[in-house]
Amino acid sequence: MNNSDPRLARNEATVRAFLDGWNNRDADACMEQATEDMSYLNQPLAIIKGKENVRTMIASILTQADRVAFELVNCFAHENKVITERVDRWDWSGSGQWEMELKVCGMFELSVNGKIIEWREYYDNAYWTNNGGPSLEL
Amino acid sequence: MPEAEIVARNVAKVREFIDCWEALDCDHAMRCLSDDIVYINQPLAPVVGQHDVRKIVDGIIKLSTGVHWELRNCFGHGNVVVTERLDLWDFDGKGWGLKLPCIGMFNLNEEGQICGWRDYFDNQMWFANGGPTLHLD
Repeated sequence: MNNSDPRLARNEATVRAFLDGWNNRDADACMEQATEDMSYLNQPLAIIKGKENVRTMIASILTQADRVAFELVNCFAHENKVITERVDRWDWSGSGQWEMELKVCGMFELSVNGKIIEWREYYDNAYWTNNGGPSLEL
Repeated sequence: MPEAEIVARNVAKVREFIDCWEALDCDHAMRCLSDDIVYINQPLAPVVGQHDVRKIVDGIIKLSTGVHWELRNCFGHGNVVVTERLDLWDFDGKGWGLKLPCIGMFNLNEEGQICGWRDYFDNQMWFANGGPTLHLD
């Protein structure tokens, strides 16, 4: 982290805490970083709106994973945005192997109080589906 | 050079590169890239070097009658620039047949040339809507 502006550092810390929630397969920890009206968009699928719907989606993915590790290739903030370029590793079955390594970019928008208000993910959806990824639609 | 100046220079270079696409100007686009450019359309194989990347860029531009990359976000940090875009493509002269949501990550070298370019998008959306090949045959 290398942000001289404290707001940028705070926003980046929020996003890192959100991703740690994924790593710990803890949907509640993820949602502690979200606003009530958070939106979650997996391009090119339909947008998921509202904290409860986003929680349902995240929990349904995490319950199907045995281990998760999101590697950050890049993570930096600008104004109310944080960009994450990542390799998301998934072990669905408990094989001890990373059964999917998904190259993905996530753009986060944060509210004035430093919570995630919108999350937009960009990746190859067929790659996700063909490598064991569960449904990303409610 | 102070970090803010480096970032501003890098962002300007990436915007210049995007303008080249809109002008359908492959030669100018390639001058924005380093000799050792690594171009990855995730999750496809990397395309490395001016010679091979030119083939891809030229191939796409030759098949396009109109290109407009709408920049939703563009900002930098260190030697990295992010572009969050809606790429509008006209492949047949009949209007924007493909509107592709995309994030492109760019790495820039000391001289301010683009040496890494990684685009993240849904390949099925690209190919199902007229997008040409993104790998060397």
